[in-house]
Amino acid sequence: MEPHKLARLKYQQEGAVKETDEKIQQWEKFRSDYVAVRKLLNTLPDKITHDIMVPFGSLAFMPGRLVHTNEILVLLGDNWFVERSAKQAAEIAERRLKETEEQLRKLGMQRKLIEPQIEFTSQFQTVAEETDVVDIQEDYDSDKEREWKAKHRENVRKYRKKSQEPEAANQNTGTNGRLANDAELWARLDELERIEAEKNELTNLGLDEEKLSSAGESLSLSTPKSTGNEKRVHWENQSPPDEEEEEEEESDSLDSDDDTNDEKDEGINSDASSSVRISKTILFTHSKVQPETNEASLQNNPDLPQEGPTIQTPADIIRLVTVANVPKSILKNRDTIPVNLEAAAPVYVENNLVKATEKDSTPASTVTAFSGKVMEKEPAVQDLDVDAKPKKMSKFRAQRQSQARR
Amino acid sequence: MSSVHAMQQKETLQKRLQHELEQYQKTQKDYQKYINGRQQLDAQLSENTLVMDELGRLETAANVYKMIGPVLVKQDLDEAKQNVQKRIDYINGELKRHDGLLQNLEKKQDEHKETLANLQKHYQQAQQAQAKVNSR
Repeated sequence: MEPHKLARLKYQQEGAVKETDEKIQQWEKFRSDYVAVRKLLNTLPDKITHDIMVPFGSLAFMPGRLVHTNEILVLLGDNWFVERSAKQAAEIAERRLKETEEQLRKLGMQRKLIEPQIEFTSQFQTVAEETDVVDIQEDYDSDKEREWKAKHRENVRKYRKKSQEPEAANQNTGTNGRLANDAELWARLDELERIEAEKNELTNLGLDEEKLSSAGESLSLSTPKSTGNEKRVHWENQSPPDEEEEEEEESDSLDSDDDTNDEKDEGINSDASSSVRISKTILFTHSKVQPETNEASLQNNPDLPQEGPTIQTPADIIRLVTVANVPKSILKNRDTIPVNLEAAAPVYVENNLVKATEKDSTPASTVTAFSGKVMEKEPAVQDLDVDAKPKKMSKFRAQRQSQARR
Repeated sequence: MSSVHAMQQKETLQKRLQHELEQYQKTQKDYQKYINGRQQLDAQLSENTLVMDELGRLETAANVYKMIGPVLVKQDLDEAKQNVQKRIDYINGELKRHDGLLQNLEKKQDEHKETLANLQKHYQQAQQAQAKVNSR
């Protein structure tokens, strides 16, 4: 808005305030007059006559005497007069006083309404003057608007036509082709899924075999998948401390599992649902049990080569696990049979795990193990997995705890 | 040739503009007049209702006078009441009439405003056209 318009607005508003102020003054005067009249009317009939100075024109007074002190001629308005006694006249004055007070109250409210408007206007004015405020204005021309609408409609129609043409063409010639495409797509997806599953299995086997330096039967399977091994090797290079720490057979399998998880994540990224789920569960059990394995690894490090060769199949691992303490055995199970695990299997394992954690591990230790693992591996993906897992876990725990309470 | 035509157009436009402006100002004046009249009627109405109120409080024996010119004429209380009531009714009628008139005038004013804006636009266009012709 232009400044002079604002100034005019402010001027008008100030005028309104001034007007109300004047009215208020006027009514204040009325009020004081009525108060005086009432007072006089109350005292007037006290005496039969009053000696007064009678105003004579605007300049002079002359002495006079007021008689009939109880006969008042009251102007009611609109040239109507009534003869009243002083007391009655005082009552009339009283009523008018009330009226004036009511008026004054209304005027005060009006003022209160106008004042903030002025304030706002002046604020707006200073803002407009001091800072570089630009008023965005758009010229409106109804004729141009009409033209534009017509054009726009035309364009929309053209666009619809255009977009419909290729669609029609597709429908004529491309239904078969599209179907074929779909079929191809599905075939491709199936293939990818299969490859993925194979890779997971093979990498698992390969890792075990590489680290344990034996596992002859699985070797033949894993050799063709050298690319997977390479990847894994790369990971191991990146995190050498892991290997050194956990070179006992159980921890090895743990490690390998982690690696495979990572590889899966790398390779799959978005698709492949079932295998990913399994991998997630595996990951979770790792983090939980790690502290114990670490402790164990420190003690058992020399034992590694001896125990290593015995683990060639999942069954071996299970046997080992049952011999060793419970949490370790859980890990073993998961690692070696990941592909075979169905939805029910993880639940069972988790149950075991829950028991184990309740018995053996303190919450603090689990927490520390958790964070350490996360830091070492791909943080983002693992975080997600970890988040997903503990929910399930907490359910079980909650159930168990609630039952225990009962 | 075209410049002459433009000139003529511009002149007629100017005349129309002038005429429209006068009309607009006239309606504005009327509007103001009726606004003032309405305010006066409002004041009179409140005054008369006050009188009516006071008359209602009087006892029947009270002396009521009406000042007509320089003299006070004594009137019967009932008569006075009737007169005041008539007066109030009349004022109410007048108020209604004024309200209708004011609404009409408002409409008229808006119409004038619109035509004025249109004319002004056309006039400016004509001026621009003439300026173009002249510059050639």
